[in-house]
Amino acid sequence: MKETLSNLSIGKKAIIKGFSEYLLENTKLNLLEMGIFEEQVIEKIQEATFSDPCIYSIQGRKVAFRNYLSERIQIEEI
Amino acid sequence: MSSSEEKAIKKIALIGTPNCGKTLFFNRLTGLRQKVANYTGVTLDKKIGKYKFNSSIEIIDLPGLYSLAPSSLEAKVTANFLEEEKVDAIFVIAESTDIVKGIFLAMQIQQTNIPCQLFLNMEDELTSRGGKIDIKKLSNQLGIDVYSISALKGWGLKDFFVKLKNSPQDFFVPSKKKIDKKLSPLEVMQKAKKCGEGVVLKKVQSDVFSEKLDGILLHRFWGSLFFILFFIVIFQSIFSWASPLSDLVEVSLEWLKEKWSLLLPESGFVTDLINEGIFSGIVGVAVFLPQILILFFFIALMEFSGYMPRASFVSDKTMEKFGLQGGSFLPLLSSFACAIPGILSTRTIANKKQRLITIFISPFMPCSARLPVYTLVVLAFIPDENYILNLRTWAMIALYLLGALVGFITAAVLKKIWKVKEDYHQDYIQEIPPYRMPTLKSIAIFLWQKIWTFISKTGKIIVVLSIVLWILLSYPKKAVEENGISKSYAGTMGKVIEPVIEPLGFDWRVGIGLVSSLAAREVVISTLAIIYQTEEESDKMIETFKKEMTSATAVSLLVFFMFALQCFSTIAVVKKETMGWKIPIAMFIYMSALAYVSSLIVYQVSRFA
Repeated sequence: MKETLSNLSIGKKAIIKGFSEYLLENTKLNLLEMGIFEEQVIEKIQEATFSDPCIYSIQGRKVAFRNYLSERIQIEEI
Repeated sequence: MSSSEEKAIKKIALIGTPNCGKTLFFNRLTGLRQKVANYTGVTLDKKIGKYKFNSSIEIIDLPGLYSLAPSSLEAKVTANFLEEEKVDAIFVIAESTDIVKGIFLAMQIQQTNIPCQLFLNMEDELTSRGGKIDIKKLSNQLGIDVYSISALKGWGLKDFFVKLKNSPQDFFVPSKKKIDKKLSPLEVMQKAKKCGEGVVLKKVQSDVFSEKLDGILLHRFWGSLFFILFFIVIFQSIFSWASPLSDLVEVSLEWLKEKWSLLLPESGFVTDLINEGIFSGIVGVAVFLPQILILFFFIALMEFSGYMPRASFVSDKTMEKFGLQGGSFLPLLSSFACAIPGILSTRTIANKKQRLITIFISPFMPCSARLPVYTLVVLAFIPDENYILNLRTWAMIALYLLGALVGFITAAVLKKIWKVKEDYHQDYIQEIPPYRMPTLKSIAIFLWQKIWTFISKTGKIIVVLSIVLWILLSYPKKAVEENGISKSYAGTMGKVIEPVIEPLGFDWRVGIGLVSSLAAREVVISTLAIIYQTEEESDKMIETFKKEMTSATAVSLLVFFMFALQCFSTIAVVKKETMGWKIPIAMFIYMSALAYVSSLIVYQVSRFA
């Protein structure tokens, strides 16, 4: 089973390897606009109360999204 | 304007990502020579202004967006606009500290072949964080002019303004380099990233201040605590600061009324129409303004400082339980002051169904217009006794909490009925920008635009409705003069509905109050004062209430006011924001039914208790 972004701990980095087929095309576009696409390095930096949503750092940018989404982003931890 | 004059006007559109300082740049270009308009069919504003040094150049501020790919409402509106409006040039504004976003947008514009220039804004921030970009190399690589500016400090603008004034035609020349239209957004992004990395001479250092502050404001515990305290401050400000300001507005308008009455005949239809109908309408609009001003001041503060997306982040999980999202929190909190600005501020919610749910439940938040009714009934019927807190305080807290609770339950039910699918989770993708200091000028322009929109759109409806209400309460003139308000059209309506409201413990007099309060809830107090022929001062009204009503009727009235949608202004705003009558009619029917059934149960049980 591939590792997903939801498994990443705070302060850890990973490389994005792919996206679940269940993600809408619109969502993939929105993620792309944030700089989130394959082979990019992503780091988890913050969790909200109840651990959802979370904030990630990509290319020096901070982006927040829910665990529903991070469970559908495949990664390889560095 | 003649067709030759129209042809002479050159149009320049501003495009940029959110938080890139585009608005500040637009304000620099246009000064105060700007106006707000709407795109047809959507609730998005566009700002249009004339270049302050050359009025033949029109600047159009398009919505903030991350790309031209149709992934959002803003992108679709922008793409349609560019196709229909035939702009002469596009200025792409980007943050100097994150140039890839701007390069990506500029490349997408180049795919459209519209002439464009790239402005790397926030040069001051780039410099303070130790960054440096090779502007010349970037310009050569893109084949377009690139400017490094600071719209905040005015850096890099002087020469550019002179060039735009004297040689505007230089800006309408297509790019030297073309980007293939067939390239996908992913391919363009990969090109943009490579280009951006290649022109960085010194990498920008991390924003230490933002990181330290986020350590507190986004902390799992401290962040939530700050969030709650901050919104208590907003809430309290709206109530405690707005009230004396609203009183001041009302006193000022009364003074003005006295003066203009001297110019009118002593009596007659025109005098009564102006003084009783139109004036009431103007006061009805004007008293909202302090609350709206204070609320939008805090919204501007949060937007421009960068705290707004953080507030959404902190509140998102709680809101999600009710089918809402973090962005719903501010509109609902605003609705505690007044549902109108609360509903207007739902435009920031991307998911359509979540936005509709937020709009639908906003009137359940106990607005300040309910306060006079709550206060009067509580003072008249709840004993002044202490149980840790005063019993009257407990009663007010219960009224506020119950109204809000029913609103959230309604949201949870609507989530099921409207089948807000699991997919909505995918709508929440939020950039968290660095913190920035808002400028007073930006806040002032923002406030002015919001107030003007409120006055020009909603204000007209409120004034018209006040005139209608005045006619209903004052005519037929002779009958009212001879026999009192019971013989007015409103009185007749009150008697017609009496059999319907009798099971709630209401008679025709309360019926007139309910009819009049459709225009504005707080009007019920003045209407009942007229009906019971007493004065509006609270002591006298309290005594009248105790004399004319039973406690069962009073509690029934409280419950009715808690749930009923008695505000045509709110209905008008909902109609405008949802672009149709379906939602406001559904809201009115649902809330009226809920108010009726709840009052009925409460009255019938209270009678025998």
